[in-house]
Parts: sequence; structure tokens; C-alpha cells
Amino acid sequence: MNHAAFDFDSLASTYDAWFEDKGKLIFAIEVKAFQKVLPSLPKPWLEVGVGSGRFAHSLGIEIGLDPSIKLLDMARNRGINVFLGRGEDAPIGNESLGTAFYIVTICFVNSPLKIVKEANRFLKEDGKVVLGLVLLESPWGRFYQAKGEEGHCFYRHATFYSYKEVERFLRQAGFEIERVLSTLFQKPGEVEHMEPPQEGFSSDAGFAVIVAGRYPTGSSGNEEG
Amino acid sequence: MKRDLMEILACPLCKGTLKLTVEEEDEQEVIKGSLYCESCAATYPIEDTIPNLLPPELRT
Repeated sequence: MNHAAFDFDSLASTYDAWFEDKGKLIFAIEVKAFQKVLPSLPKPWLEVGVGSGRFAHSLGIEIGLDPSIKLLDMARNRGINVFLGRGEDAPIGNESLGTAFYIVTICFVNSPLKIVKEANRFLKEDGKVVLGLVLLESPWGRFYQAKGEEGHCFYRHATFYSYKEVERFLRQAGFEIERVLSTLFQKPGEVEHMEPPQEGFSSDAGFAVIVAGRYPTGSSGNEEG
Repeated sequence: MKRDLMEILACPLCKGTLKLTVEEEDEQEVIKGSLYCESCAATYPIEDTIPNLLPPELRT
């Protein structure tokens, strides 16, 4: 989370307050989607870009990595075992973790491919990557991108990716998408009620949960380009 | 930092093993200390329970 680290330190309280204010229902809808995939994920779990620990705390993720010390302070106070670091240079031993979560993190890093390649190194053989993200083609992707262009304090640092782009960098890093859940079908400014996630990718959904596993050894998953 | 975190932590540069030195600790976790990578000769501080494992050139 290179360029974003400074901004998240200076805006840590603003970021964290969103979860109890304007984002409360959106957060609950997103957590509900993650909960559908949790039982199948191998432990131990790490969240890369754990932020203030809101998702980690709600989902039972025990370990968190982030480059922002102010956000890590909040995550630690929520009971997460945290350390300061970057996903691009993950300070984690080879084949030591079961699942790596990247929740609203991919859009704030300089190289999604680089951080997901790191996951391929530090995950165990049956390890999984779980992405939670706003996709470019969704109404929310276009909404946040427009906010960024207007100079919004967070979204001007964000880059949103299409489902095809995510599928491609996962494949380049050696991962294959196994399951997708789509949620947040209510439009920006119109979120009024809880909603259940739907199986599969939908360009109408504001938030996607993508579970990817490693290509079997010897397959052609690690292609470049 | 809980001691069991040592099972997964590695040097961010070479991914090698880190040696833990404890200066202050309570029943639950290491409060102050450092992590040292012998092959890179790099030291990573632990302050207020949080290990700083940013690559040395990125620390402020």
C-alpha cells in the first residue's frame, strides 16, 4: 500500500468512523457475503492491509499486516495480532499461512500482481486468496472512480479493476478463481436494507468476494502477459 | 506481539528467519524488543507491541 500509507495515517480516524456512520449497513452487507465462504478456508488467516481491523474482527481473522501504524493501533485494540509491513515485501516465511485476505486493498496498491505473487510464496500448498473489492464495471466502481477524479481524500489514490483484469493478475500470480459472491446490488445513495449475496460474478453488484486457489503444480497457471 | 507470531514472521528482504530479542514483555505479549535478520544484518524494532517489518528504506 505504497502511496496510500501516508494518507491512511493522516486520515485514520476518518476512515474508521465510516464503518459506524455512513458505511454501517454497507459493511454489514459485505461481512454477510464473506461469512458464506469462511467455513471452507484453511487456517491460519492473515489480512493484508488490515487497516483498523474492522473486517478482521468481524470475520475472525487472527493476524493483520498494514503499513499504517495509526490504523494498526486500532486493529490491535480490536484483538488482532498485527505487524507493520507491506504486502509487496511481505515479512512472512514461505508456505506458512492458510488464507490471505485482501479486503478493499487491491485498489490502493501500486502492483496488485506483486502482492498476490507474494501470497503464492507464503501460502501453504492448499492455501487460498480471498479478495473483497469494488469492481470497475459496477455502479459503485464508477461512483468511487468519479469521486476520485473530483479529488476525494481516499478515492483519488484508488485504482479500480474489472473482473477480467482481476482474473488475469490472479492467473499470472498462479491462482485460479474458484468461487465468486456478488452483493450490494443497491445503488450508491440508495442502500436501505440488508441483502444476501448471490453466487457468481455480476456487473450490477457493488462488491465482490473472490476466492482463488493455487493452480496445481505443473499446470500453465503462471503465464505472463 | 504474541510470541506465536514468530512462527510466520520472516525478513521482508530475504525472507529468512528472524531472531527475537525481548526487552519488555508481559504475560500475553512482547511489548518492546527487536527482530534481527542475520543474513541481511537488518534489525526490525518492536515498539508498543507492534513489530515494524517495513523494509529499512521505507521506515520513517
